[in-house]
Amino acid sequence: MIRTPGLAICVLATAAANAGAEPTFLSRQYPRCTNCHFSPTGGGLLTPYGRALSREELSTSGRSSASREPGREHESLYGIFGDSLGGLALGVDLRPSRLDVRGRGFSSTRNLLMNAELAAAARLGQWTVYAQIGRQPRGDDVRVRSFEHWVGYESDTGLGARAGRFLPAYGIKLPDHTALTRAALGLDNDDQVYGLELSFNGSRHLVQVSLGPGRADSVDGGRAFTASGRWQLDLRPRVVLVASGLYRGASDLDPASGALGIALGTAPTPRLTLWTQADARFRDGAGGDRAYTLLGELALELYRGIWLKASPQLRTEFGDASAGVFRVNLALDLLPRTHWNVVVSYYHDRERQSGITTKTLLAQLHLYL
Amino acid sequence: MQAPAGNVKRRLVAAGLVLCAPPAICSAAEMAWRVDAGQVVIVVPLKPGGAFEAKTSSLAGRLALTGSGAPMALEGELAVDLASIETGIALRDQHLRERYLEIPRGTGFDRAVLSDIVLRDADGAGFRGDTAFEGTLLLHDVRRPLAGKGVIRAAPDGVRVEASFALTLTDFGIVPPEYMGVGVASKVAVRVSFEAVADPGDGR
Repeated sequence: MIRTPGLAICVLATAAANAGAEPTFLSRQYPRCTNCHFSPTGGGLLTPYGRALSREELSTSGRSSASREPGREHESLYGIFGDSLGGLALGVDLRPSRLDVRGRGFSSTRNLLMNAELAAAARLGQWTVYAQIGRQPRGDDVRVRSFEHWVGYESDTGLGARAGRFLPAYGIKLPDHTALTRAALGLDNDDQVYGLELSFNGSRHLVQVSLGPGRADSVDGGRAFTASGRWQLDLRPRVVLVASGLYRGASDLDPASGALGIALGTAPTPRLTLWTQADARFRDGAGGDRAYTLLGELALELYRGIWLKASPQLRTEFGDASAGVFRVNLALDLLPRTHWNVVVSYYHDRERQSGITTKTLLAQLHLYL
Repeated sequence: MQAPAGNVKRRLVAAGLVLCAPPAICSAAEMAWRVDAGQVVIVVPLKPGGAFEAKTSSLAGRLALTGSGAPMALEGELAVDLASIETGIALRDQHLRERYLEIPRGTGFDRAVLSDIVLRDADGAGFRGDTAFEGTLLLHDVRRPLAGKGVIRAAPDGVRVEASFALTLTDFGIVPPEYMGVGVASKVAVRVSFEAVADPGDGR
């Protein structure tokens, strides 16, 4: 729950939405993150195919012409490296933003560089090596570190393994990491774990199971055994069912906790995607607390490269189902040209018991170079 | 000796009934159906993971029943205009047509044609139900036998047909597409549905 203005600002100041394509691309019959991203859990560096698709299918004016050579517009830094990178993929992610938060008795407006990241990946046969280093604001501080790095392998039969630092696979990985189905479950931008992930990537099934010693950035005593499982069934190329589970063992600071969730994604037309996710959260304690999160997201492409998104979200509190927060998130996602993404998001958060509301407007220029 | 008048009358009535009967009870040699459109859905598995559907409604042809009893052999063909197949991604459509199906090469490449169709479990024009089928498919200028399953249902003007079969692209000399590390599997699934309208043919 966002209880204070300071915390609200802190949370949203780090609201670094990744290139807002992946869940909405179900409408184009891409049900798997790995069609366009190196990471099996989505987000982050785009593959060459993902870059080409971003240009040809996402941008309003970037599409290449059939009558002339497509050029290198979609490549890293507009292709200034030519062919010298070989199989190495590079990406620079910058996100200058403006954040305006207003609540009862307070307001705050600030400009910030929300993200600055450099990511690199290489595919060597069936092996993938991925590394990223980034800068993220944390309140008044700035952290610079590698938030994600791993080595992965996938066989011809679809069996795979990945080891390193990554975000566990769970539910829908929405670009907005402050979504109540992400932040509340400990799947925020800096909640990566060190772990081993085993996977099966078939034509209709994707299964990912991870085990590890816990959050990579936990404070002393906060790290605990973490396991996750995610099963995705592609019912149709535009209909996806996802079942997930997450377990975190008891640490010195927190009791054992976890979540079970189910999500459904459908794209009734090539311009419309609907996602829903419901999670039951649990934790050890007197009486065995339960809490819930619900989320829906509608993404509609009004015109090529212009997406309108609406997302009602609910999160209840442990021990009191009437408490928690109800959020309505509206966003306009503009992709005028390859690499250029302007996102204007409005969040209306209402605490269910007190009725206190917080209104947040976030404008981001996302440069994916 | 002359036939009694009553017998002659009965014979004339019977002959008239045969001549005026609807196609469903005509002799098998006279039965034909016309297909003007349908729905062809090709489910293409992607590597790595997932699948997409390629679709077209450009299905046409004429089939005629040539014998009687099971299996039921059909003369004629059903053809799909390959240039009309759409996947929902313009660049993918372009690559599909130009690089993999090689439609610009013309005759033999521009259409997929199913002929020599035999319905294994069907025993006549009035058959309704599930049946296995065989046929010969011309695709990418390669002619190969194929087999699948179908179901025939009654429709107001003829029959409603739903069929499915699997295709291995390499059997037809098509290199499984791959673009920037994302490819498709060689084996694709095809679902076809159409309404075949009873067609008396020229002059009938």
